[in-house]
Amino acid sequence: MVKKYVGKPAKRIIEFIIGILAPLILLLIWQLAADNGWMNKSVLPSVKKVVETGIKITASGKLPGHLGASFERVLIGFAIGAGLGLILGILMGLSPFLHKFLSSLVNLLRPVPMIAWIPIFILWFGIGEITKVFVIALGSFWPVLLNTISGIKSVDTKLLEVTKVLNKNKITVLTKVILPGAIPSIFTGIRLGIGAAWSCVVAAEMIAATRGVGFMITYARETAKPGEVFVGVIIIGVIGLLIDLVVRRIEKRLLKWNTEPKS
Amino acid sequence: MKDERDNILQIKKVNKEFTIEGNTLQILKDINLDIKDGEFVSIVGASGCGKSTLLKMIIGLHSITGGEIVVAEGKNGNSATRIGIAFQEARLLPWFTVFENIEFGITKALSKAERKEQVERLIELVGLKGFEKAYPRQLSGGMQQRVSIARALVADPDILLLDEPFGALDALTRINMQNEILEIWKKKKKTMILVTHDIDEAIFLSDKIVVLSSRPGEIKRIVEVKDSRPRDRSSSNFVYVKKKIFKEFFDETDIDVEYYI
Repeated sequence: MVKKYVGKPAKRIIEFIIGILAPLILLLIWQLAADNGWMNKSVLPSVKKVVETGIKITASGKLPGHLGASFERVLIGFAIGAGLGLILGILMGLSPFLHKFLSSLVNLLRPVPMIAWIPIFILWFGIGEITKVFVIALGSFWPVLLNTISGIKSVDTKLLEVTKVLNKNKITVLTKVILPGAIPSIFTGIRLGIGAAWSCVVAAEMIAATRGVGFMITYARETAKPGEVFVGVIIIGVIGLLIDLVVRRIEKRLLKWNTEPKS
Repeated sequence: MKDERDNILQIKKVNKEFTIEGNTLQILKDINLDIKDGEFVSIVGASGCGKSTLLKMIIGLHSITGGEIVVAEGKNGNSATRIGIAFQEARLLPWFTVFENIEFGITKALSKAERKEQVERLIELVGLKGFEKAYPRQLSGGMQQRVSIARALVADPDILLLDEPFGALDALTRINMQNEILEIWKKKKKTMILVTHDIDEAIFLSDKIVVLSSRPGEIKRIVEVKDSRPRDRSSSNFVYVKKKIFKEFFDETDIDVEYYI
């Protein structure tokens, strides 16, 4: 019968401790460096100071406000970029003609770093919201596009033979065979895409914004508030990690057939 | 005694050529074979002799280079004779459960209740009760192959093609599966065409064994087996037939099968 494998709690705790060991060591070195004055306080504030600043700007609503602004941009930009990447990826994966037609363009534009697009978008759209959303959309577009194409193309031809023998129509073949087979790859694209979206928003806000975590960091540096700079950097990392965890959770749920342990 | 049954499938002067990098390769040459309704026919031959290609031509996955394959008109009010196939690999959809995989084999438009009933009947037939919700990767090779056979049978085909479906299974599981196929054949009275390189398997199951030569694949000999089923693998006639088929593959002086049993 189908049995669910449950890891021993002790093993899980050990794994968790091993996992957080490296960040803790880094924090320890950091605190030592600050306490012993290895580095100037205006360059490296102490851990305690950063935590205090974090609590202060969270309580005052400053940090949540900036975070909210960044989140909103990421959500809109990612939805547009990933949506377009998914649709175009499916089309390019299914149509060899479209793939040949567009792949040189894709390979030409993809290596251009997001930072390089920002001046162009500012020229076109000014320094408003559209520019930032565009940068994020483009950043999340590429990984979703490329991974969707490769997922669709890697469909098992032996399964396609089965659908042919069973006289399945094209829509059934697409929805029951090609897309489910591509989902692991599409999810890799989505995970990379949302990560890219999150780093793009910070980059865009550092260059042209009056709100958002990126802006908060730049402004804090200009006004000599190293504590806030560090809070901003750490919160970016933590949120990136949380997003990845959530996406992985959803992936696991959706890909039960692939992750459910063998009996 | 002459067999009065109708031919359900006629293979007439069939040729098959593949072109690989400009070279034409003859795979099958002048294949003539009549298969009667309800008959169990095995095709044996060495790897690469084109026996799987022949099955794929019958079901339309490969084109025919020359000759023709004639399928009889459908029985019981069906417009055409329906053909199903179980491949060497189970070829199940990994994201579907056992139930859903078998359901995927249904080709007619049926209500949900009818589909459920059909699938449950097949699950019972192939002995997978209790595994409806399992995913393919949670099953053993033999169980996956049962799902594959159930999927081929759920559409109620008149002819079931078996393309070495037990080839990848261990010896004990294989014998089990052979017994089960025999049961299904008896119960369902389907025409079955089995491709195999296992001569024992062919003799155990078939009315007729077609021996193919290699490159190009030509029919060397057709051996009829008339023993009643289930057959005793160590009976003198079984061994005699086996020897007869072995002789087609090896020179008589090369091997004397009796010493190997």
